[in-house]
Parts: sequence; C-alpha cells; structure tokens
Amino acid sequence: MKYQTQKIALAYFAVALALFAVQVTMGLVLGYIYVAPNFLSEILPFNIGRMLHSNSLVVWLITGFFGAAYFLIPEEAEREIHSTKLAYIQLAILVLGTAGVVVTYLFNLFEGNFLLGKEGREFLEQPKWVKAGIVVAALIFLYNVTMTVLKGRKTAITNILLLGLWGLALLFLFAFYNPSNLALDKQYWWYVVHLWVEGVWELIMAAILAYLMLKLTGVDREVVEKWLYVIVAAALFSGILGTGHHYYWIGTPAYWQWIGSIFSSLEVIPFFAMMSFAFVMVWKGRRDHPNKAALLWSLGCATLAFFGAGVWGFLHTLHGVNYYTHGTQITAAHGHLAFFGAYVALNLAIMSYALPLLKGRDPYNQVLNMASFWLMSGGMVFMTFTLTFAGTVQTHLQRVLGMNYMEVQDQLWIFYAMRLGSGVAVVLGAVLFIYAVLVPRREIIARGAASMSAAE
Amino acid sequence: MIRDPLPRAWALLIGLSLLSAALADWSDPGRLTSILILGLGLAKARTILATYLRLAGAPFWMRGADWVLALVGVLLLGLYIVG
Amino acid sequence: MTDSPTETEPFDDLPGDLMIWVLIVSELLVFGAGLAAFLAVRATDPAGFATAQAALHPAAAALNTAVLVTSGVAAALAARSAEAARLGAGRLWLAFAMALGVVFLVVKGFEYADLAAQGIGVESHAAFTFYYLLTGFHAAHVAAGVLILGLVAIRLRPYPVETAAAFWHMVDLVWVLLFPVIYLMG
Ligand code: HEM
Ligand code: HEM
Ligand SMILES: [Fe+2]
Repeated sequence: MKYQTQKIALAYFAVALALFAVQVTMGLVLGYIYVAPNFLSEILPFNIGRMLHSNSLVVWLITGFFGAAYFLIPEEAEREIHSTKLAYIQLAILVLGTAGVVVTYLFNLFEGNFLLGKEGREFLEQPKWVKAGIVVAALIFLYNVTMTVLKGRKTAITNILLLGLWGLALLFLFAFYNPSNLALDKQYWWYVVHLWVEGVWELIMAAILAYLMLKLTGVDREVVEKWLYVIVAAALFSGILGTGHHYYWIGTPAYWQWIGSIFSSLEVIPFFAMMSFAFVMVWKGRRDHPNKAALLWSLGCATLAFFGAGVWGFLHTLHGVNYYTHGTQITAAHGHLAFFGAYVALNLAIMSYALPLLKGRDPYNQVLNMASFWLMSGGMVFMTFTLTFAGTVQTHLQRVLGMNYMEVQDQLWIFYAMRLGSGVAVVLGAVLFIYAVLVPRREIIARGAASMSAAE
Repeated sequence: MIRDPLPRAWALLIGLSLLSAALADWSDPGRLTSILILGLGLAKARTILATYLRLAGAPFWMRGADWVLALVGVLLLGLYIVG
Repeated sequence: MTDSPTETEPFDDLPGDLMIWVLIVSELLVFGAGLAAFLAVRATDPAGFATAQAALHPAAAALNTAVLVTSGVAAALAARSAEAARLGAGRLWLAFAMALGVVFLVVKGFEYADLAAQGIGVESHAAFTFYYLLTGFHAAHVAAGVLILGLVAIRLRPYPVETAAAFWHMVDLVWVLLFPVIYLMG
C-alpha cells in the first residue's frame, strides 16, 4: 500500500462484508420459506424478506465498489484521496440509510408518511429520506474521487471507473419518479436496474478487472487499455437498447420485442470479451503474483459472469422464449448466477487483493480464501442448476400445459429443497471468506512451498 | 478505364445498383432474380469494405470480412429459400 | 514486458481506428440479425409480406442507393484530401457528402410521409414493423453521420476525418444489404 488514504477502503469493505453476511442469511430464510411456507410468516412476510435480500445485495455491492474506488484511485492517479473526512462522512450516511431501511421495513414504521414511510412499490423501494441520503452520499463520493483524479494522473482505468460511477449515480435519479401507472413505473425501474447491471456496472467491472490484471499478471498497461476500450464499447452498444428485453410484456409497443431481442443477444459479447481478456492476460503475463486467491476470484468472476449473465441471460432473452419463461424460476437461476459471477465475485476479488495489503499481511497465500471460493461458487452453480431444472419443469407444466400455478409449485418441492441445501453451502462459503480475509493474523506458508511456486 | 481505385469502386457500385434495379424491374422478381439481387447486394458490400474502408490493403482482415459476408449471405439466403 | 518487439499485433495493419471497427462489426451484427429475423418472420406469412412490400417505394430507395454510394466516395476523397493536407478540397468533399446525406433523408422522409398518408404505421403489419425499425434505425445513423462529417470539417485533421468517413461507409454498407432484402426480394 503506497498511499495512506487507501486505508479508507478498509472501512468500506468491512461494512460491505457485514451486509453480505446479512444478505445471504436472508436468502437462506427465503429458501427455507419456499420449503416450509409458514416459517416466520407473521414476523417477516416473504415480500419483506425478499426486498431485504435483493436490496441489501445492491447496497453492499455498491459499498464495495466505493471501497474499490478508494483503494485503486490513489495508485492510479498517483496521489492521496482529496478528502478523507468526506469519505468517512459518506460511509456514515450510507450506514445510517441502510439501518433506516431495515428498521422501517421490519417494523413497518411511519406507514403512509411521504418522507419517512414505505413507498409501497414492488421495486426501487426505500423511504424518500433514504433515497435523498443516497444521493447526497453519491454526490460526496463523486466530488471526492473526481477531484482526486482531476489533480492526478489520468489513466484509462480511472476514466472508465469514473464514467461507470457517474452513470451509476445519475441513473439512480430515476428512482425518485414514482408514476401511479404500473407499466410506467416498471419502465423507469428498468432504466435504473437494467442500465446499471447491463450498462454502467459493466464499466466498473471492466475497470476493476483491468486493474487486477495489471497488478496480478504484469501485462503492459497499453495492452490492458486496448481490451478495456473494446469491452466498454461493446457493453454500451448492446446494453442500452438491450433494456428492451424487459419491455416485452409490460404494455410497451410490440416493436420492443425485436429491439430487445436483437440488442440484448449482443450483450453476450462484452461478457465473452471480459472472460477472454482475463484468460489471455494470465496466459501472456510473466508475473507470478503470490496472491493466488485474488487471481482465482478474478478468473472465477470473468467466467461465472459469462455463464450467468451471458449464457443464462441469452437462454431467455429472445422474446419467443421469454414469452414462456418470463418470471419463472429460470429468471431466478439467471439472476443469482449473473449477480454472483459478475458483481459478488468482482467485489470479493478486489477485496482478496486489497485486504492483505491494507492489513499489512503480505505475502499471503490465502488457502482458506481459496477454499471459500470453491465452496461458494460450487454452491451457487449448483443452485443455478436446480433452479434451471425447476424453471424448465415450471415452464412446461404452467405455461405450455396451462396447469394451475400452485399445483405446479407442489411439483417443484424437491428442487426447492436442493436449492436450500446449496444455499447453506453458499452461506458457509461466505462466512469462511469473511473469516479468511479479516481474522487470521498470519497464514503459515512453508518456506519451501513459497520458493517452489516462485520457481515455477 | 479509371485508374484511381475510389472512383472505380464508385462506378462499380453504381453499375451493380443499376443491374439490380433492372433485374427487379424485369417482371415481378421471382426466386432466381431475388437470389441474384441479394448476390449483387453482397458484391456491393464487399466493394465498400475493400475500397472505401481500405481492407484491400490488409489481406488478413479482408479474408475475415469475406467470411463474415459469406456467413451473412448464407444465413439470409437460407432463410429466403425456406420461406 | 510481455510482447517481444518483433511480434506484431494483427490489429496493427487494420486500416483506421480499432474502435470504429468494433462499431462496424457491432452494427453489422445488429442489422444482420434484424434482416435474418425479417426473413424468418416473412417465411411464416409470405402473402402478407408481399402485400406490404407492394406498398413500399423501391424506385425512391434505388435512387437513395445511388445517392449514398456517391456520398461515400466523396467522404473517402475527403479523407484522402485531409491526409494530403489539402484543407479546402477536404472541406468541399465533406460538404458534398453531407449534402447527399441530407438528400437521402429527404427522400426517406417522402417515403415515410406517403406511407403515413396511406394510414400505414409501425403496428400495421409485422412487415411494416421491420420496415420502420430497420430503415428508421438506419436513417438515424445517416442523420448522425451527417452531423459527424460536419463536426470533423470544422478543424480538419486527417485522423478524425478518416474515422468519420469510416462511420459513413458503415452506413453505406448497411444500406446496400438492407435495400435488396426489404425492398426488392420477392
Ligand atoms: C451472493 C449470493 C446471492 C445473490 C447474488 C443473490 C441474488 C438474488 C437476487 C438478485 C434475487 C432476486 C431475483 C429476481 O428478481 O428474480 C434473489 C432472490 C432470492 N434468493 Fe438470492 N442471492 C444470493 C444468495 C441466496 C442464497 C444463499 C439463498 C438461499 C437459498 C437465496 C435464495 C433466494 C430466494 C428464495 C429468492 C426469492 C426468489 C423468488 O422470489 O422466487 N439467495 N437473490
Ligand atoms: C451481470 C449482468 C446481469 C445481471 C446482474 C442480471 C440480473 C438479472 C436479474 C436479477 C433479473 C430478474 C429481474 C426481475 O424480474 O426481478 C434479470 C432478468 C433478465 N435478464 Fe438479466 N442480468 C444480467 C445480464 C443479462 C444479460 C447479458 C442478458 C441477456 C443476454 C440478460 C437477460 C435477462 C432477461 C431476458 C431477463 C428477464 C427475465 C424474465 O422475463 O423474467 N441478463 N437479470
Ligand atoms: Fe436486463
């Protein structure tokens, strides 16, 4: 760690990891409700739990991105972060807002209050004051990192990262518009969520992966940058009009079926390019970096993102297919592997790289961390398969044969039980990861083993 | 004969366009004329790639472009014949 | 550090900017997929598509083909002039290319106006949905191309002019494939 202010990232990563634990635990509760439907039905209705599961996911991922930015921008810009104090104020606002959401929803406080209460929307659901807090925090963040970059060295990595972060914040503004027409509501919701995960977040992903590849493989910056620009161009070209794949059946004109099908099919390309990028860099690179865990997470991220977002996304993105699969367990299968591969693994990769440096534990082979990779990823892949099977059966019985929804759900019980099992593996993996990066003071690497891997 | 490749490509493009217009005008285009017209379109596309976009000077990429055009042609032709 | 100096990247002999080629390939994929979808849906309703095609204006579109390929050669000549630092000639060719681009849009506008007068819209028939989507999307590229050619004419430099011309050739390229499939093939 060359710059003192990189330490800010430590606090962000800690908050992100705490929320990660809450998020996957909440997932486990949901998975259990699927198997035993009356579980907690009085205290924690399924819809509230589901909202907490998906919202805390988004919040911790963004917190992790902020941490990643505070970690890598000083090195790229070759100067300290503009203001440390602002960075901590920003984090405090985010933590307060998150706590506010959780408390408000668990106890259903301030019902009907314009500013303090729930908005009663299916999506983009936070009390207004929390939304405003998020915007203030985002503004502080953007000011802080933009000032740092403007005064320092400008690289392709920081440019793309800032572009992605600015896009993330600006698109969130659509969350304030709350039309009573449900079709319009959804139309704007996708401006935020789709244009996030299949647009500007991909820029963040590409920039962070590029930084990791640069550090871990020692490939020339020039080569990395060329890839970066191509990936970003492909992501924006396909992703923006790709939003159409959410407009097939919500009351928007029928031509969206073709715009959505064609452009979103091309969204596979940037994910394929990111996977190729990661492997080509490792193959070309000469550096044998000791942090094998960070490399494992980086390669795992690029690969699982390609399968989760690219392959599983393409599976149901043509409107002829989506007509049958819309909103079935196929969607849940895709949602889980895409989010996990692209953004969870990305965060865990940069944390695996940064935390040993932040905590002064270099060199470090992180065997426990690597075990957590296999446990978590294995669990997630298994969950994706069980949900894909469940979704296939569901599509056939419910959408093709026209069986009743609840009758079909009864047939799917075995898949839900297996999903719960794989969920346990994911949660154990998450706990192991958190332990591995935060707790052990030193992991013994036998001298011989270290020199052997260096000689490879 | 025009020496400069650019005007020559232009003349070729106009010629191919006239030819496809003539083919299309010549009775209602049937199967065979339609296929010929598609072929003329692909020939125009190749001319644009080779001369306007200067791929002629980069054989490796010209070969790649030929492959892409051939694939597009086979795909469109196949769908046309099936229909 | 990684590449030995003798090893050349294949990208090095690609004429023009790498990014413009990424764009060209992407656009070709989009329009290629669109045309393939058009032909596939057409196979399910040949009679309906034939009736729809009869309402289109192949003569106007043929004229537009000539307009666009002529505009294309003008843009290529502008790039050549810019390379040779002949600024006046470069601007003249660009202006000519832009003017023809505007002609294309005007002709296209007449086509749309005539269809609209017949009460034909995007949702009238699947054939018209494709017609409007594909030609409309292409026309939007023509409009953008005219703008780009105008922008690079202001401070004429070889590299921007060449990149703008490549964009313009891409618009040309798409049209010569669009035109036969949508208007002519029966
Ligand atoms: C890092 C890991 C995880 C990620 C990224 C993740 C992501 C998501 C997302 C994005 C959704 C919303 C899906 C949609 O809108 O279709 C969701 C819902 C859900 N997740 Fe997770 N999740 C994770 C872990 C878990 C775990 C461990 C379980 C436990 C079995 C679980 C069970 C569920 C359930 C039951 C739902 C509700 C599905 C429904 O409404 O039918 N998740 N998750
Ligand atoms: C990292 C990138 C991606 C993430 C995180 C992601 C996540 C998700 C999630 C959570 C949903 C469920 C939304 C809901 O209905 O609540 C969803 C839906 C969908 N995604 Fe993705 N996705 C990604 C990339 C892609 C790509 C590249 C494609 C296409 C190739 C795609 C195609 C779809 C489609 C078609 C739906 C709608 C499913 C339905 O109709 O129920 N996604 N995505
Ligand atoms: Fe999407």
